[in-house]
Amino acid sequence: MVASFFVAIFFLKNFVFKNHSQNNSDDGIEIEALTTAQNKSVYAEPSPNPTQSTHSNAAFKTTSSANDSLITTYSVETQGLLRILDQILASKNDNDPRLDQKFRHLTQEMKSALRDKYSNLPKEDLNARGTIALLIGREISDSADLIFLKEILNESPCLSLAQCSRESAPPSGVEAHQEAATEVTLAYPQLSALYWLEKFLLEQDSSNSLEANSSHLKEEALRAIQAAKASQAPIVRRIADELAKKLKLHSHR
Amino acid sequence: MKTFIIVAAALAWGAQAFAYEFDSDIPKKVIDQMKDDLTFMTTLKGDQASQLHQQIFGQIDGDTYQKFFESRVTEIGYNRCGSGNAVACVIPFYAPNKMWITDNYIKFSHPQISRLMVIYHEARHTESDNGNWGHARCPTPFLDANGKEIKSIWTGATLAGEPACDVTPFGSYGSSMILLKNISKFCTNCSDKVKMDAGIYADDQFKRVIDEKAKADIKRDLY
Repeated sequence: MVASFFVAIFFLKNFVFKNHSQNNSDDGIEIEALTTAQNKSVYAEPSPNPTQSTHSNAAFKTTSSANDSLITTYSVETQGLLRILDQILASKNDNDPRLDQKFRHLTQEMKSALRDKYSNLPKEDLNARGTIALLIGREISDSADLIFLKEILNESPCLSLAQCSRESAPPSGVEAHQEAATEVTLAYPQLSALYWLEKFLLEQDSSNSLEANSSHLKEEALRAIQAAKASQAPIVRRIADELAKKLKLHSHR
Repeated sequence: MKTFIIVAAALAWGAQAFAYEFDSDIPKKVIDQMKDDLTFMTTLKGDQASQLHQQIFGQIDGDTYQKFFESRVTEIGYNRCGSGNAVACVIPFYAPNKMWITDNYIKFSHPQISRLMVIYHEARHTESDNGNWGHARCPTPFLDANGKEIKSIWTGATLAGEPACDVTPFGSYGSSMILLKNISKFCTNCSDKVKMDAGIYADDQFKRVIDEKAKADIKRDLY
């Protein structure tokens, strides 16, 4: 009887307590969320303007059921991948192993779908945008990837976490201490892009590839970093500048 | 004996509940997110840890991180923390081991490791024996490693003269950046995203450490 009681506790515990650990891989989770008028389905058609997004600080999730009815453009495989991304972003678990397991060897269609999703995300959804910058930045293989990252770097800066188009009051005193992470988060998509551009260039250097395409891509990546030195966001300028100096040093070894 | 083992195992299993208590006025979504984030910390593993990390925390290990937090924070309450964007704070003179959490914990789109950086930073401020690791005033002018003035996104705002820097690797900025940089470099079960994020936020926090010896110690330890 005692053993039965503890077996019952075991099952109750595993039912009640969620655990967002490395072992979370439930692909079948339905996502319930809010839609906004401006956050249209990203699965319907590509957005013509990748940088246009004027969403306010309302919720920035998409309704799974609304998207389902509009999914016509992409293959089943790509749709599945986009659903997984939605699940991961909704969970706020950045350590979901599927980010590394499922988003590898992306096809051109998958990358196109991710770029479309990026352009349809509100600018305030900084973590989601930075995540997509990672997914494509990790798999740079052609000019389209670098153009995408360069466009991210050229975006006008997000001025406040609540609403990118509106600058909040500058922090001072105790607030300056408390807002240590804010400026990084505001530039998170750009910093993610810079991070993967650096990795790409270091990998290219270490592989010593002599392919013409590789050389061309390296030049494009370097130009993207150079251009970021003129960003309107001070933190992006600073990091791009540090990176440019570091890469110049690295290439002279 | 068998009964004792079963009881002990059942108790240990049930003890996944955290040692601190949440005030009842904290919105459930905030509590759930914080629990999820702290549970994530308990899963971390690393194959090594830098010297400074070992001094402050120990190894890169979930149990270590859990004990660090729970030995400092015994209660979590709900407060605006005086700032529009603040995620969490500690008010040592009022409640030394209580952390206050705001709606911004879930309202804004911070990466997960960034939220954890903030609460581990604040946890350090509960250490009354260490003067709560009070911050130093950032220098005027406040320059980066290249001698350029550090400007912020906010028009006219500067950290120069603000109590938002550290002169030791062991303060709240130093310890949280050491935590994150170690995760970035040595975590063996972290996603690429977590490692990237930990590195990005750690590198930014590093500029808040202004003492030359402290900077040199951290560089030697981690860079």
